[in-house]
Amino acid sequence: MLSDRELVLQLQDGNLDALGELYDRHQHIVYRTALAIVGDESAAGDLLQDVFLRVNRFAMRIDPDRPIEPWLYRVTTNLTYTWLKRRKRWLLRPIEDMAEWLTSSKKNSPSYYLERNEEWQGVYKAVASLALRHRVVIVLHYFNDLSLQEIAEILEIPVGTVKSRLHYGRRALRMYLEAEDGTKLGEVQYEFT
Amino acid sequence: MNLHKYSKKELFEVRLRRGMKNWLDKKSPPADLRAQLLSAAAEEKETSESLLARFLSLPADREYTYLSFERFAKATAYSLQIGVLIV
Repeated sequence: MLSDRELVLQLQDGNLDALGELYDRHQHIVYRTALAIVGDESAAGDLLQDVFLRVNRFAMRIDPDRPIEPWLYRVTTNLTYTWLKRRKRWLLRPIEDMAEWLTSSKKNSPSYYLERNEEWQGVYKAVASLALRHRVVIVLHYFNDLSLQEIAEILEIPVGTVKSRLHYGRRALRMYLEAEDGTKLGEVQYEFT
Repeated sequence: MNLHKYSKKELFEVRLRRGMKNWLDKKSPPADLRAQLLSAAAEEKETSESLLARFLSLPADREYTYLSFERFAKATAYSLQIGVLIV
């Protein structure tokens, strides 16, 4: 199997099969990151295509000796910012998504369904309620498992700013989830700096 | 997953992380997107190659280049008005 480095080099030589292979490897992470930020499956599909068209268009600017994921994350977040600014909307489709979830996933038990549904639905709405700058950092940290340093490099902002956004994002999420639960989770202290 | 071993802070983080992954890990892009992407990329490549070829062919058009040069050479004066060239 070819490495990402070899695929980028092939793409730089104009081989579109290499683009297809890179897409196969990284499509899910790009799509899901975009979806977590914009909350619209159709838009996430469009953004996924845009990201990989840019991979093709700007292949010469990609350093094959460095991992491609940070480059993909940067393009994805930049494009989602642009998309949200253009549309200025944050669509929620809880009923549609719940129907899809109920019909498509593995069936274990009713209690399993209930517990998991409530959990992801709560988080889904809570993430959607965040300001864009907080939402992006929360998604990259909790969904993509990126460190503060990695997020800082991707977004081209200082690590302190990432920490601050993470702090306020978590606080807003906690407040939202507590209000949803109708119960206090207890005071959670985070280091701010 | 046993949640009893977590502190309140950890519990919140576990809930957040697990909730996001439960939500997103089930989502996949449309199956036909790959074909659409490769088709759009091929089209872009073709367009850019055609534009480049057209651009590169311009200097080869001797008559056009010569006439352009002649017209420029015959320009005797520039207007004092910015941006207006008297030919």
